[in-house]
Amino acid sequence: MKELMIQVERAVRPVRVNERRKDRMREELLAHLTCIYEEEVGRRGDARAALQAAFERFGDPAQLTHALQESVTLPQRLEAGVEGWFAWRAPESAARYTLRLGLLFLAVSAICAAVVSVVTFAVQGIGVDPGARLRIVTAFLLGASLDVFLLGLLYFKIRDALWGPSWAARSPRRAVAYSFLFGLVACGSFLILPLLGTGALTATLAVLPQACVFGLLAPLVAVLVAFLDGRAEIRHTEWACLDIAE
Amino acid sequence: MVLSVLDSGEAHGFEVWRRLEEAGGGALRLKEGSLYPALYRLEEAGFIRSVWEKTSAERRGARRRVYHLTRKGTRRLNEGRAEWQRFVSVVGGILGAPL
Repeated sequence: MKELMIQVERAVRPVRVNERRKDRMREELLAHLTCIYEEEVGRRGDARAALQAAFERFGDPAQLTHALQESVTLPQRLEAGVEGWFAWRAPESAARYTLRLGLLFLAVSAICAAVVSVVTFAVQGIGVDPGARLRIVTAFLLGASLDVFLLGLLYFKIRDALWGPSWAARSPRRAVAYSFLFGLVACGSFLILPLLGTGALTATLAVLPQACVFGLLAPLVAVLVAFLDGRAEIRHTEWACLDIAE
Repeated sequence: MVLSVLDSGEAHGFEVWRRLEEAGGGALRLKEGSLYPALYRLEEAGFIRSVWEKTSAERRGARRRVYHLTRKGTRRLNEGRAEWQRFVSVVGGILGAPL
């Protein structure tokens, strides 16, 4: 029942804790509120009155938020802060989220690469052909960030086609098609990265068998993850997108 | 109080609340949602543990977590009971109530 979900979400959404923990709070509180509501319906026979009575018994969402926040430890709060950077934010679309993730990956890995380069140069000196090194690192960073975006987006497409949430129709055929594309992107990245880095076609051909295996395994993993976690992710999205304005 | 009601067997949140109400004879005047922060704190402290309930075909809707006492929780409960007995004994002695 949507009214019950909204009442629970009013209490849980403002709590600063990681999303996994929030989902647990949501499910548990909703189960409890549903039990109260069913009890009140049996007692009163009127759905509207039962809803009001259930809300009254359950407590004020703002006070519950405060109590829930107090049950969250400092490490859990810090973890939520870090997660806030990388996790999906309602009502962000899958494309926008994976693009943000790709850019974040680029920024973080560029900083790491810069630090490693400075340390390497300081210890070993400039060395021979620094241009080639720079080309390899740049190719890897750009290619990997593009992969994060494309593979992430395709994962969400596979998940939605497998489970059929309210915003997308279930379609096993489309799930297979997106998995095929996923495999192509994975295989292509495996082949293109050495080519971009070294500029030598022989290097690319040398990794062709490994790229094919990767292209076959990667979509299988994506489908498995979508199958195991997809329903919980979709449920999370439904909660996070609820309009809780009074 | 929560540890005490879980001493009689594992239970999900609503059942914990029902047992508390029964044990309190209707004297408890707490909002039901406030049970969960208490459960989370007890779990964080290691006194209780919880797992998701295996949902049966006839039960639909939100999932429930089933809570049970840990050994640490049982020890804490026994300590709490002993402390309470001492408190009742001391205050009862002062007030002259029959022990």
